[in-house]
Amino acid sequence: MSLLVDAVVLARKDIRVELRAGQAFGSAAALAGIALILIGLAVGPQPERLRSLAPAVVWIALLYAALAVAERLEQIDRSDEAFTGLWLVLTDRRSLFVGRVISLSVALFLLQLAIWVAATILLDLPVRPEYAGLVLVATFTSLAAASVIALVSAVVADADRRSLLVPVALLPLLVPTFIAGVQASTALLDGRSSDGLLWTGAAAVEAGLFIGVGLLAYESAARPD
Amino acid sequence: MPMKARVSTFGLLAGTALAITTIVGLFVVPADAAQGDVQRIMYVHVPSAWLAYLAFLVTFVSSVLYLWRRELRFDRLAIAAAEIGLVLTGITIVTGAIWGKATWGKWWDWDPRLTTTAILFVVYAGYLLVRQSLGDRYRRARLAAVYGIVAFVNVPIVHFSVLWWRGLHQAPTVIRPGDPSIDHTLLFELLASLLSFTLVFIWALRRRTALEAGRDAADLTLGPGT
Amino acid sequence: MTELPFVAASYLIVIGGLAAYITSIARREAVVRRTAQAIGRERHHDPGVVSRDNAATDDDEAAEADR
Repeated sequence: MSLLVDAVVLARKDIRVELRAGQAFGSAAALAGIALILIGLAVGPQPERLRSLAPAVVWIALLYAALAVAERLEQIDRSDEAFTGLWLVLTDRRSLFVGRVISLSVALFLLQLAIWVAATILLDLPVRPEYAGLVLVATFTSLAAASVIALVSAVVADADRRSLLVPVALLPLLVPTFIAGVQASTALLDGRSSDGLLWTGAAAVEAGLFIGVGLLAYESAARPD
Repeated sequence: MPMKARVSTFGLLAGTALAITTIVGLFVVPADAAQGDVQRIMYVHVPSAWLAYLAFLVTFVSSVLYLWRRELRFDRLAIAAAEIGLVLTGITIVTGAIWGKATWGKWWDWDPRLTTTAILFVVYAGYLLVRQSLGDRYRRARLAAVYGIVAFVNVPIVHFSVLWWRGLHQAPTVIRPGDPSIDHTLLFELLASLLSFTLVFIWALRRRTALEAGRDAADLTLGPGT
Repeated sequence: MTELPFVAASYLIVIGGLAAYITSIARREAVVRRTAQAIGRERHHDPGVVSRDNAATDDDEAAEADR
């Protein structure tokens, strides 16, 4: 039980820091906005084509935003030896992982919904009842992505050429979540609810797998020297 | 000192087996009734793919064992297998693309298995890059082990991708319930080829592990894990 | 027989790829061997001193024995 209690406390700490400073979410949202506009410009003013590409556009924007959020949260932890302090105090250090997954999931969930709203306006997407399913897609894909990001960020925290390494180490591992997210939202946008549900299920399985791996391996990854 | 073994008996055996199965695959077994000569690519493409998966399994198991036992020999095995797996994955992708061009008329058709194998290639390239970026030997081993475990979670997704997506790639012809759909002579050559590739794999694995042991013994700092 | 160049290219890539990889291992082995020899010479000249680098490796026991 103490694992979850500690994790929630840590997640609240992350979220409170973010609410006060607003740097991670703000810069990530700005990055996502730029990505949306750039991809729109690259495709050209062809409404049909843009609409069919919408899920891919949203997800590419989200991946870049996710990298920004991960980087910022890791910086907060590693500054002032804050992480070492937490490491020494906690009885079950897996709570560091769970806490980070919770705070990252919340950030990614909100980002995903914000990007969908922006994409709906910019790409002129028709709003359908199936859109509600995007909330479920966002929930599970955020959990899956957050667990991978939390674990890999810990692995590369002190690596050389960190800023280059994070995307190289992280993006390939996020591909399954990316595929599930794109396929689920494409299905929902096309009105194929059952396909959307299947892909959402795939995202849920991925989330379960990565959380499981994270619980087992995080302590080895994050231990300060 | 592990560096002594240059060309061992085992190495000679593996090389000879590979040469024989290559000659048999190219010149002795008959061409496939449906695909013709181009099907001969299967004798190198399929073993490369299978052994690439095996290599990544070795990296995964070694990574788990390293985290459990904290013995560097497991880390050496993990890096050796990952590197060989990456080479074999590269070979799988290129030979697959060539086979695709010959049969589908396109080098790359976003076929699910070929695409996900390409993703696997990037994942393990990331694994090697992560290793290179970590200085301290034991820290590198520990963190690489974690990454090696996470990376392996992607492998089943690659393997079962043929079932998840419906692409151009032919369905599995050997590992499936019932009698294999492949002709028995061709199947024999495929299995012989798999055996010779496995021998080369084991030989390369031993030699690459010995190289890492030599590095540890000399404590080289020449770009770790390269 | 338009398929033959594809088959030939595939086999060449496999053989060439494996040969290039084995060559790269051999090249790295040579570097390790030369370094090991250099360390050996260093020890031979000054047997009382074990370099810091050596002291931090698996070779600790051997280093102890040398001392």
